[in-house]
Amino acid sequence: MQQRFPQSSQKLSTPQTKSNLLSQFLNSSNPKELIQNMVMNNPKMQNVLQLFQNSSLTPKQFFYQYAQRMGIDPDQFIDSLK
Amino acid sequence: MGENSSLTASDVALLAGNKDSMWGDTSFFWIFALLILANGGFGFGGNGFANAIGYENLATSNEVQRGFDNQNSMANQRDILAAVNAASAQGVAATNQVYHDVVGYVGDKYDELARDIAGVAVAQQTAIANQNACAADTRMLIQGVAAETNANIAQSRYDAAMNTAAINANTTAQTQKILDAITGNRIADMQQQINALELQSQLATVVRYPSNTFYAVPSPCFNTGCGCGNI
Repeated sequence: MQQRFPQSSQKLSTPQTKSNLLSQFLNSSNPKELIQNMVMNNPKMQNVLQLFQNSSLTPKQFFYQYAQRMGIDPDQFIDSLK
Repeated sequence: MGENSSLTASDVALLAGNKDSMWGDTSFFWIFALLILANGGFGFGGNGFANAIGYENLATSNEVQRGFDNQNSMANQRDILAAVNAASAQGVAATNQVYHDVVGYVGDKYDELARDIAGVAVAQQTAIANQNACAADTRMLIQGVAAETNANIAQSRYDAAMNTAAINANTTAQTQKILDAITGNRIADMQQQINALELQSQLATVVRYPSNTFYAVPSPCFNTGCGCGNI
């Protein structure tokens, strides 16, 4: 079953690109709401947030560990977001 | 947040708020990056699209979930392994202690046995020495008895020989006496025979007359008138 990214008040459009998605996040006046809209109907994001919630790690620590477990260089990934 | 259900917006807000209060505003950036990464990198949207270039092999959330489960499982395994190692170490220590005790006990028993064997050896040597001394004494006694027996036998032989010689001498003497006696008797008999023969020879020329007593006519020898009485 395909998941559709939810429509939100932030007016996220699909498909998202790196630049416009990051710019939307950086320019967002309410990043919490943006994240809420991203997670709302996305099982993958919900699962990873649940993992993060169950952990005792900081968001940065969890991100680095998660990326490493997926075989991705976290620093390279962050650079790619810029 | 309900079990097996999606996160609600309030859950995310609460989550982000708690973390935000702890790590500042940058928490949203890391969560944002995490969500992007969890959704497959830049293939954003969760529409089943392929991952972005360079992230084609990106794991799914379930795979990551299994990874974390594996992490917990590995942690549990590490705990179990640590417990097993600790138990093994205790077991090894106990085994070593038992080994040490057994070796010490065996060593003590070995020393004790060695001392016993040495004592037995000494006793055996003493017994052998006593046996040898006893055998030597026995040999000496036997030799003494044999020598005495030989001496007694020799003495007996000597005595017997002496007795035999004495008996022979006595027999010879007695025999000689008998022979002498016999010889003497024969000589006497012969002398008597000689005397008898000489008397007989002398009487052979003499006329012999019977006495009156036995004749009717008086004997001339007793008749005084006839002259025959001169005879």
